[in-house]
Amino acid sequence: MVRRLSVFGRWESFLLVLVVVTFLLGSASSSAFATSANLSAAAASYTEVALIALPMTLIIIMGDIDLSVGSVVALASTALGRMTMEGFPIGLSVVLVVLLGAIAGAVNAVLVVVLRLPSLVVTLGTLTLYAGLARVTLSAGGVAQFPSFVSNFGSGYLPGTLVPWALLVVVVAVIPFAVVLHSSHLGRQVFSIGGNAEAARYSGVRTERIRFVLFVISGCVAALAGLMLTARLNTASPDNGTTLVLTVLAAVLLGGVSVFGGKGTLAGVVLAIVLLAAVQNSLSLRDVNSNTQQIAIGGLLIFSVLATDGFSRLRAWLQDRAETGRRTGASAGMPGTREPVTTETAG
Amino acid sequence: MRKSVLAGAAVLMALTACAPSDSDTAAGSPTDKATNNACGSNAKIVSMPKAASFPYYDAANVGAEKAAKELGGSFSEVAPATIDAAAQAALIDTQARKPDVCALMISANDRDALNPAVKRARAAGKTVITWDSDISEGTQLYISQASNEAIGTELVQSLAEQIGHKGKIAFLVGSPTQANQNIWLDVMKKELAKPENKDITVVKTVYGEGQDQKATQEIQSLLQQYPDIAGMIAPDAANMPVAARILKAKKLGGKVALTGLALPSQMKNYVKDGTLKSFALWDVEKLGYLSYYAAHGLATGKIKGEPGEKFTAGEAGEFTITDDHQVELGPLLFFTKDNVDNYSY
Repeated sequence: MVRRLSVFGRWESFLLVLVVVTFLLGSASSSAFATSANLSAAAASYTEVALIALPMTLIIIMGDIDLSVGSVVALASTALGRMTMEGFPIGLSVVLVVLLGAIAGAVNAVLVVVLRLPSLVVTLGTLTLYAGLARVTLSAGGVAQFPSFVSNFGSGYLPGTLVPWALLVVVVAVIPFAVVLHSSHLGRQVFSIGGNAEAARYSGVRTERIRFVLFVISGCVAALAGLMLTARLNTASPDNGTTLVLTVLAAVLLGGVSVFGGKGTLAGVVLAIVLLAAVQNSLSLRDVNSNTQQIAIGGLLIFSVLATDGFSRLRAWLQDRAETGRRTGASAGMPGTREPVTTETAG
Repeated sequence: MRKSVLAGAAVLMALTACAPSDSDTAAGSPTDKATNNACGSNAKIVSMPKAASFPYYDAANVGAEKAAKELGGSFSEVAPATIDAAAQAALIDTQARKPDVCALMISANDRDALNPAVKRARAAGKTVITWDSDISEGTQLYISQASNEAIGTELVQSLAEQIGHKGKIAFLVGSPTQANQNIWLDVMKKELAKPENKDITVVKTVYGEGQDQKATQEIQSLLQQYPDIAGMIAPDAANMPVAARILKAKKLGGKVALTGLALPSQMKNYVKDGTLKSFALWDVEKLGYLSYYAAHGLATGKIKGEPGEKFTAGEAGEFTITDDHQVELGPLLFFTKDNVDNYSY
């Protein structure tokens, strides 16, 4: 039986500490850091990453991956631009673009789930395919003539606050993903698929259906993020979103989701996004050049892999000791020096 | 597990809660809270080129630093790691929040995508000019390297002369969304439509995306696809050395003409060994120098930025602001094996 460690032993708690430290260092190093205007702008620039990271978390926990999301963003952006050029009403365009995202996701799903091809290869292929389609959709330059509703959404805030509209979308979206993943039967099935897909199938989990639906959702959400990015930049361009996927993956893995599936929490991923945004913002405020920033963020990712590995080894070791302690009985009377530490931490 | 859901929600709540604390900034005009109402001659001016670590922008920095020294201002460079409009927009937002920054001089990655961020920076009281690559709205001045007409026509004329006004040619450009290069392409096509160039056909436009590897692949496959190609025009400093390297390796120097925009240091050896006859650029150092003078003048109120206004930019001389709020640096500068050693960048 798996025993839960105390809150101090969790990766999420460690991330929270890192976030707090980054905020403290950020505030100490620049007076502009802890201003609401700065935090608002920094949060806005990570909304698309955050939104896409939600389905990505579930997909990676399930043992799959979706690399095509950045290109779906570009495709959504160019599709919106094209439809606006052709005079479609904005409401209809938005619906059609999300539908297009669903189709893009469904193409991935058919290849991965129905034809049983590896998702890494399939979505690497559709990454290039959708990027090409985006360039065809809007071949020359960008479109910047949108109804004022679009730019108001992209650059505006909730009335009376500095909370970007897009952040509200993210907050609202987090809730259903968190509930499904962590407190529903479906969520447990997602974990079990990632843990052992064969075993999950034999125990009655409809693995195909769940994987299919998640790829479709990933496409829809990426398209939605594409609309948000287009609104934020007030520009439809095939270049939009092309660099997003690496940041999304960095956030999900930094958040403690296992790249082999079966493990991870949405809270960890959300904390990782806040951490990445805060690190990048505070480095930018210090005029640290972007190459150095990339080194810092890459280092953070490597560190997280090492640290999560260390964490799980530590956890296994502690559990092992606790089990051994119980099995040999009479732990109270054992002369081992490290015994008290074990019982406390595993409690 | 429910705990982690709550933790996630709490973090987001915290993030949203801290944002609205001074809502007056959003509701009213943010200019009220602007920090740089008094930018003295020691003004801090930040240059935001398309991406970090390009020799081209390093050369411009040399000029800007020189201007900063003359004017007693300060200068720094902030740039995204790759040519990425969204990343550049985020950097503009960050700089706009720094109280000590007076002015931003931006070489834009996208004509439209930076407009909202520039608008916010202006609202926060920052002076914003563009140089090298313009945006469609919100900039106070655009410092252009040379007139678009001059760049387009002079490059085509130079190549047409080299190939005897006939044959197949190709354009080697950066990416489809780069504003300045698209304008030059249009001018070049217009120049090619003239009667004396009727025997020249453009067979392909190749995109190098600012990446050596991509440019190499594209140019190699272009030469395979059209072995009888007569010339190539690269209005993109990233493609030029790649094209020259390939021509030299395939021993096509002198057989396939090449011209375009590039830094002297990138192309020095290739004009000397005859791989190409000449190439062009503007005086990049002077462009950075002039841009700094313009940004500094606007930030300190010495320049109003009105059409027809004249101002002096140190040793670069006098410039006039055009009706569409532009300042032009001057004509193209062609480099050959005879003069290429006179330029250090």
